[in-house]
Amino acid sequence: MEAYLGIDVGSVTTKLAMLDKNDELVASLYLLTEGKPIEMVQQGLKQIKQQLPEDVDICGVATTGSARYLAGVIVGADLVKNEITSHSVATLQYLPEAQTIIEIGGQDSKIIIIRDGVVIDFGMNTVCAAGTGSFLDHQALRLNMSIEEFSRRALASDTTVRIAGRCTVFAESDMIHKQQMGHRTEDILYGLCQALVRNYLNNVGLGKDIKSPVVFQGGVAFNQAIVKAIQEELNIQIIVPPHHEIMGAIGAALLVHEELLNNNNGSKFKGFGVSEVKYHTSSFQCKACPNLCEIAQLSLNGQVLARWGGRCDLWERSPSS
Amino acid sequence: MQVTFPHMGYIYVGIAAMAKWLNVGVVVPPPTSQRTLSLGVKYSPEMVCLPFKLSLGNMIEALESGADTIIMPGGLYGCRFGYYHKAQEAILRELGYDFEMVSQELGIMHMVKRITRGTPLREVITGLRFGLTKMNVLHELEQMVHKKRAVERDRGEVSRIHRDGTKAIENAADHQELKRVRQEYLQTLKNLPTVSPPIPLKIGITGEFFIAIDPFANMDMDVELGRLGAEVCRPLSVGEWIRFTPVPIILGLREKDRSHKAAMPYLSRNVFGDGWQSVGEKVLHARDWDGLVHVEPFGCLPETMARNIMPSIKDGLPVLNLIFDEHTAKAGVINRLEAFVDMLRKKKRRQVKVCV
Repeated sequence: MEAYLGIDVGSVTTKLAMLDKNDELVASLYLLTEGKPIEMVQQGLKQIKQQLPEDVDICGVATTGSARYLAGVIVGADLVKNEITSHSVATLQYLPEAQTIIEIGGQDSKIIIIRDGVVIDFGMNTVCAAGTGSFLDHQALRLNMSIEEFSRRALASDTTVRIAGRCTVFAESDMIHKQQMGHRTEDILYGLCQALVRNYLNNVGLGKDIKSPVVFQGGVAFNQAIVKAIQEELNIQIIVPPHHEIMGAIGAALLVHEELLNNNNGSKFKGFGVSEVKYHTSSFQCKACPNLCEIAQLSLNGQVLARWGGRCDLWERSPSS
Repeated sequence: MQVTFPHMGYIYVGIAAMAKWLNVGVVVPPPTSQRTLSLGVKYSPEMVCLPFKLSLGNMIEALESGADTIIMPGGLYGCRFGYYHKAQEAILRELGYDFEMVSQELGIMHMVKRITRGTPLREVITGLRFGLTKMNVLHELEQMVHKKRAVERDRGEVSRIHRDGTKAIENAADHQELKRVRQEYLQTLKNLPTVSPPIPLKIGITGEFFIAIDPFANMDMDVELGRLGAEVCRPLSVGEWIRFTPVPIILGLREKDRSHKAAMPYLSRNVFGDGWQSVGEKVLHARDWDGLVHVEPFGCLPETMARNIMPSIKDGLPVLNLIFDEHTAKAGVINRLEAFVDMLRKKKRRQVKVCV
């Protein structure tokens, strides 16, 4: 069986998606990155192999997400693509007439505007991580509940409680204040959801022409309370596609399939064996100039595979030296 | 007297040339580095913008290397920057440095007189002219670099020539040598082996002046855009800023005046800094650019206004807004630039298909 693999290594979660030659999803995985991108990619490969038939032939691999270059070196990727492109490709495959994509992940939130099947504009959070998955996680943890319980209880709210959404620090102190005043937890939770949606639309969505159909994806789309809050704020029906949490990985797989149709020189995929190899990462400070760049390197059996992090190309140019 | 000044892109080349011509001792601060930034951040108020922190760091490093007179523009910029020399002077005095702060608040000529001390005016003017000519040559070289980097065959070659060329311009001792250096490097760039990208793109950079032109502050954004195969157009440059040619000024042909005029329907007054121009550039270049990258330091009031006005200009020119501070996560910047270029290329490919 011919198959194309997309790997999306995000700040919080690692996603893998395997497509067959008709671009049908045959296997997928959703793992927590836990700050260990290399181990998670290896573990992901191992686990996804178990979902696949014996005769699977990996024809192409693509990586995306914030650790895409690192992941690309490990698996031997044929294509390394940014998340904006990956997400929009996957969404258009699912819903060709989509005009707006709202994507909220662990650290990033984005809005992608599409007209006639082509991305014409996008926005991404700049200096503020308010309204992303990490903040919701943090608040759920502080209230000692799982993120699933957070979502369920927020939906049970019946009164509006106004929480400041401009900044996570203000939001948190507002929440504590409302809580000490004696407001119901459910109402505070939903108030927080509304605040985050307001913040998202005022920052990331500033001046963007949000037109239906609107697709909402990314890990935060699991949270029904956020879905409800967006719908109320925009007054538009929101579509949460199936597999919304692995859209980036699906998009990467679609892109590598398309790329290899055009020029197929065979895949650079290193095989499932890489999950058994022990990679070693380390970092050092370059002392060649006062910039003191922090150079990170990835090595295997004492041989350096790749280096990153310099302001100049002194180290990146010759990783083997 | 040992004169120094903060870095801002390649402006040091021009200032050092003027100083040398006029026999004024000059200390060029060490190139802006992580250390510069750390020093600046340590002694700056927390909420000031990145240009304050970086220039303060430059001043400290220059004073360490023996400078005793600091030139810092002040007053005329209109935003907080106008007061920076005063605040920085107070901070540096508190740190125990002994120096003189010179600003052009009392007029450019007053400042020049204070530094050149009795040198005849005619001599001063020829010195200034030499420095300005160097800045103009640098500007020409840079424009060629931006064009060629997008299509270079051997990656990194253009950046290498740019580095060498800047050094050669810096070292040129007189107009004749400068002319020769200019010829040599422009020719080298012209003859460089190139490849043609599938879809050529032109991306404009606008926004706050310092961030837009300083490679340390904007994390070598023009190099990254070039690597992605996009030609960078940046009307903001020191050469453009200090060009004193009277005819274009009278006729309103300077980029700045043209952009202000273009901005009128959306913003009809100066908001100081470069806010007015930022808005205008978007209107002015809606046709000849494929995209616009708008940059600003965190907390910049003029550019905050410009950023919020831009979406109301519905001319289809996509804008990517980037805010810079002391953080070092270059990955986030590259990620956004890459996605932006990808989008513009796909968009343009479709337009080309429709035309055919």
